[in-house]
This record gives sequence, structure tokens and C-alpha cells, in this order.
Amino acid sequence: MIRNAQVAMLKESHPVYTGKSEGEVIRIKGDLMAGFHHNLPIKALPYILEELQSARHPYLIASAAYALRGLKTPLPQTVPYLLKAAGNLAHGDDTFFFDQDEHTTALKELFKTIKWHGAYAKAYIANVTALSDKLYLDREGKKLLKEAINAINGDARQTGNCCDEDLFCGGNIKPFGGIKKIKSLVLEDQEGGQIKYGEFFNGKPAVLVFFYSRCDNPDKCSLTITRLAHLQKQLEGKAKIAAITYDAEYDVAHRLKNYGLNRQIKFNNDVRFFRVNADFEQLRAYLDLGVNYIGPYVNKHTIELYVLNSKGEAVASFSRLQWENQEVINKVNSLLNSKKTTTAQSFYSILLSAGMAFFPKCPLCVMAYLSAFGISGMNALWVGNWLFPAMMVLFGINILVLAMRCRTNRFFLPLYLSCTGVVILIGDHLLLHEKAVTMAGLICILAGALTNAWGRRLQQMFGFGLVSA
Amino acid sequence: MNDNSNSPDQFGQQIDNTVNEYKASAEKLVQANTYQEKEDALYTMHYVHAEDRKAGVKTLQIATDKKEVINLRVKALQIIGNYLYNNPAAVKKIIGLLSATRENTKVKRAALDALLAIRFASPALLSQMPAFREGLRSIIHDRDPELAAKAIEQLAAYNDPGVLNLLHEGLKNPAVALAPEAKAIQLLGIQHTGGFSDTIRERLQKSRDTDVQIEAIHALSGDPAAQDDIQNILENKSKQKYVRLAGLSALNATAPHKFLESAKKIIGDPSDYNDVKVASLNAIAMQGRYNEISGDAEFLDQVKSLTGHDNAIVRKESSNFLAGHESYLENA
Repeated sequence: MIRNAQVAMLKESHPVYTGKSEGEVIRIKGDLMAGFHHNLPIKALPYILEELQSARHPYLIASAAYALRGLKTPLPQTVPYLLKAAGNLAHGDDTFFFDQDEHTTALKELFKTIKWHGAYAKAYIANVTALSDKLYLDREGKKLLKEAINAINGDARQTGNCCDEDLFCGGNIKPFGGIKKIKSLVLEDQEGGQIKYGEFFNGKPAVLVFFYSRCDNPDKCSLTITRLAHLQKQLEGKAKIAAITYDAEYDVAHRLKNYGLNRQIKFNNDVRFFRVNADFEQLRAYLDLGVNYIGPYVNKHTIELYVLNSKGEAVASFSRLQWENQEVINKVNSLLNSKKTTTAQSFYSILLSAGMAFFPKCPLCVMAYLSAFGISGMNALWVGNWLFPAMMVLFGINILVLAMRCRTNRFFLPLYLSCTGVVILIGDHLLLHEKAVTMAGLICILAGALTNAWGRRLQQMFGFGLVSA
Repeated sequence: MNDNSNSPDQFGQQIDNTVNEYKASAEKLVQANTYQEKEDALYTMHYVHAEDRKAGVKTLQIATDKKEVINLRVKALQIIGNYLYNNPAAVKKIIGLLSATRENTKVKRAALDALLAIRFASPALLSQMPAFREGLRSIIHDRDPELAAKAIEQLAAYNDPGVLNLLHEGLKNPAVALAPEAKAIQLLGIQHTGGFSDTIRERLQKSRDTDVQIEAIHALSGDPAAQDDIQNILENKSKQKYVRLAGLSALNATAPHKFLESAKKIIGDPSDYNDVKVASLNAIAMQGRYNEISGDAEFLDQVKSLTGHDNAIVRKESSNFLAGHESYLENA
């Protein structure tokens, strides 16, 4: 229970972060992550990896690396995140205390965690070794790195490729609801024009990301928009593309436009950046956005991309870790294909409806069709060898259905009339070949259908219980 | 051909001379034993070459040796930057001077200056960043205000939560202030998500100090809650000119529409400052906002009337503004 509550607190939108300064948010989140040092639940892993991938603050990096050692078994797939975090530290490390007696730094924690991986980091030994050239290491740093390399090389444990967790597969889908409320949400685009959510996100699948121009982390908003521009090229107009700012107060139209243009976004009617001037909370609630605020300022946010269907409903999200473009394209393609399937289904559905409309639904219809066949000379078909057995099958089905219905209604007159009609028709076809007899048979069948439809009413009207069981 | 220009040969000769001079001075430094020899060598050198290990070691030794004369140590620290750049061990020793308890203030100042000079890209300093930050923290309460101020400024630039909180506390309680009020606001304004806006807004409303007001306006320039306060300052003719100009810049950045309202009032007011008028006109023109004033005949008449103003700058800028507007109309 407590573990689950701690994991829930890692999410940016948790109320604990509301109104807190960025410094306080870093401290709370860092403390929470460090608390997982002895037991890191797998649910918390995406949050840890997110910080390793994109955090710049040394305390967040240190505590994420420290927490990773709380996994029961090392995961080889986490090593690239540790390497990325080491690169992010080029902006400056700092000193912390996790144990009362010993001070540590983010770089020390990263090297200790790589060392802890041992054989599980073997696939990345070349990248780990290359750190000595890429990073600015003092004597102690070099010593720790050497220890990590030795631990990897000297570990004889057999490791499998052990990960079947969703976080490595991307495209995680969250439950969504309440689209109706946000359809009327007014969006203001990078030209200052206004359009409703339901109008823009309509008719085509869409890719939607969130960002804000004051974000000072180059691995978050700036990279998100740069990657979105790349995605725009790859999607080739198959989907609408939108970016909505978390910071509507500051990101006025010209800032939205410049931010996009500077990152190679090509704006057009289907590619726009927006701010939501009122009721952003509705959108935030609908998508369960990973953002929190201190007053008007964003104090913490995650990376998030949503794929929307042609009705503007979110059907997939790629959050926390930077998405793979191909995964997003696959999702858009699957939406486009399902749209084609839906179109095909609609076509067959129309055909079926038309068939149903023209299908003889009562004896009068049958009579009308027979008359039409007679006029057009199609009565010749009657003598066809195939038609008689087909008619027998249909009669059989008719009688079977009538029998079941009559048994339910405990009123058997329709069944008897239909059976009589069928017997007459068969007799006529095999022996007599008289039109008058054929008509008599058809009239009996018609009477059976009519009494089946109105039998109850006839009973009530005239009170006869004839042949009722 | 310019007679004063050097030919390639002359230029090459100058380089050779410089190199030779350096070599001679460095050699003198390495062999120096007495105060006079060391002084002669150090004062003829402008820097220690990064690759010159012998001279570097000697300079570092002079800089860190408490028995040396202070002036020599300071001079050594002033020229050691290049050598420090890629030498973590040397950087570590210089950082050690910052946190040394009985170190001379002049030496500490020179050590801090040497480190700050290489702080942007020195691999050696980056590898020692935790120790550097600790060193800075150790001197924020130093009895030398200049030393403390530099350390505080640097830590605030690193968003050091401890220093930011101390600065914030100082705004609320001047008795524990780590820095003068205006400086504290300037440093707190670096981190707009620091949660200091309420306090800074309060200081903007209450303080009569011009510097405090200017720094507070800069710090609040992205704060929607401060827009009305800043607009009032901009329109308040009794406020000091530079305070109003800071308000103009801030309001234009954060609330362009409110700025335009105020700018029209200022430009149309014959009794307002010329500088503020000119800045308002320029702000509209520089951002090409002619489309927003094009339909306002009254405003354009007011600008036209400024072309006959007593002040030459007002005349020139209002004419430029109208020319820009004409050009906009032609291209529209």
C-alpha cells in the first residue's frame, strides 16, 4: 500500500507538487526515488528511467541511479539510460548525502550502479569504457569507472535478455474518457486564429504533443518539438499535427510560431501549435497530463505524445521516455487502416440494408415479386431444376420458425395453414401443374403468415381459440 | 598599401619574439628562488602556457604556499588560468584555497576569480564541480563582502536551493540578508519557478528604492499576476524614468496588448517624458505592430504632431515611425 502510494507520488500531476517551487519539487522527487534504494517496484521504473534520460539536476540523477540498485535483478536495458545521464551531468555535478556518513555525487552513483549491473552491462562495455574519454573525470572518478569496467568484465554470471516490460515497448495506452467536454474547448493557434478542439481534431488521425517555450531542459520541450518536426516529415500529411503549450499565459501566438519555426516545423492548416486560454484543466483531466504548477509557472512536467483518432479521441500515449517515431507512425497507420476497414464495413452494411429493404418480408411482398417476375417473363425460372429444391429449403425454414413461434404463443393455426400451403404447392408441382392450385397453395401460405402476424389480435377481437392448444 | 600593417614576415617575427619572451620568463620562474627573482618572472608573464608543466607547477606552488608573500601568490593566481583549464589536480588545489579557514582574503578572491574565469568550459573544473560548489558554499558568509557576493551570485546561477532560500529569507527579514535587496531580487529572478514571486511583488509595491523596483520589474516580467502593477508603474509619471522604462520592457514582453494601451496614453500625453515616449514608439515599430494601430486615426494624428516636437530625438523617431507605417500600408 505504502509502496503504491510512493509510486503514485512520482507522477508530476500529484497534488504534493502543486504550488511547490522547482527546488522543492526536485527535493521531494529525489527523496522519493532515493527511498526505493532497497526495493524498487517495477511500476516505478519508468519514472526512474525518465529522470536518467532527461533530468539535468544532479540530485535527480543521483537519486535515480541510487534507486535503480533497488531492483531485485539488474536489467541490461537500463544501462543506456545510465550512460545518457552521465552525459547530462556535463552541466555540473554536486554533493549529496544518502548515507549519513558518506557524501556522494551523481557521477559516483551512476558508476556504482553500472558496477552493480556487472555482467548485465556486458552488452554496453564499449560505451562504458568510452566514458573515460567523453566525461571530465578527476582521479576518483577515473578510479570508480575502472572499478565498474572491472566488475562488468569480471562477472561470470549468465544473463538472459530479461525484459518483457511495457516500458521498453512504447505506445502504452491509457484509459480515456470524457471527450464530449473538451470538444468545445477553444484553441488559439500560432497565428492568433481560434478553432474548437472538436473542429481541428476531426476527420483525420492526429499526433498531439505538449510543451512550453520557457522549458529550460533541452532534453524535454525543445527536443520534443524538434522530433515532432522530424515526425511531420515522416508522416507526409497522413495525420494532423498539433502541439499545445502548458504555459498559455506566456506562450502567446508569436512565441508559439517562433518556437515551432526555429525547430523546423512547417505550419499549415493541419499542422498547428495552440494555447488554451480557458478551461485547460478539462484537457489536463481528460489526458491526465503529466504537469504541475506553482502559480502560473510550470514546476514539473514530463514528455508526452498522444495519438488521436479521427474523432479527436486519444487512443494511445507515449509518455515519460522519448518516443520512437516509427512506433508513432505505426499507430497512425493502424488508425488509417482501421478507417479503411470501417469504410468497407459500411459498404457491405449498405448492401445488406438494401437487400433487406428489397427482401420480401410478407406474403404480399412475395405476391408483388411474383407478379413482377410474371410481367418480366421470369416465371420461366419456376421450371428451373434448381429453384424447386431452393424453395423447399426456404419453406422448411419458414415452417420451422413458425413451429417455434406457434409453440411459444400456444396458437398453431399459422403453422397448419402454412403446412397446408406447402403440401398443396408440392402436390401441384409434382402431379397437377394447375395455376389455380398453385395460387391456392400460395394463399394458404399467405394466410399462415397473416394469422401468425395478427393471430393474437384476431383471438382478442373475435375470441376464437380455434386450434389453439 | 597601409604603411602601418605588418607583412607576414613581420607578423611571424612578432610571434617568434613573443614565444621567446615567454620561454625566457618561464625559465626564469622555474629557476627563481628569492622573492625578487619570483617577482621579476611573474610580472613579466601574462599567462602560464597550458602545456608548460614546469612553469605550471612552480606557479601553483607559489599560489598555494602560505609562506609566500601575498602579492606574489595573487599574481600567480592571476596568470595560472590556462594551466588550470585542463588540470583537475591543480583545480582541486585552487578550490582548496576557497574553503581554507585561515587563508588570506586577497588570495581567496584571486583564487575565486581564477576559477570563475574558466567556469564555462574547463573540463578540469567540470570534473571538480561538486567540490567547487562546496567551496563556494563555504564562503557565502565570508567577512569579505566582495568574495561572498561573487560566491552567492555563482551559486544562485546554479539554482542552489540553499542560497536561494537564504536570499528569499533576507527579503523578508533584512537582519539576515545575505545580499543587498536589489541584488537578492536580481538573483532570485533567475529562477522564475522558485516560488519567490509573491515576495518580490510585495517588494515592488512597498519599496521606494529605484534599484529594487527595477530589479523587481525584471524579475516579474513573466509573471501574469504582476501585469497590473507593472502597467501602473509604466503609466505613473511620478515614477523614476528608468523604473518606467523597465516596466515598458517587461509589459511589452508579458502582456503586449496591455502595453499597447499604455503606450498610446504615453505618446498622446504632452506632459510625459520624451524618453518614455520614444521607447514606446520604438517598441511598437520594432515589433512591426503597425496592423494594430493602423485603424486608430487619433493615435496616428498624435504621432504626426510629434514630428514638430521641440526634442530632436522625438521628432526623428516619430518620423521614422510614420515612415514605417507608410511602408506597412504600401505592402499590406
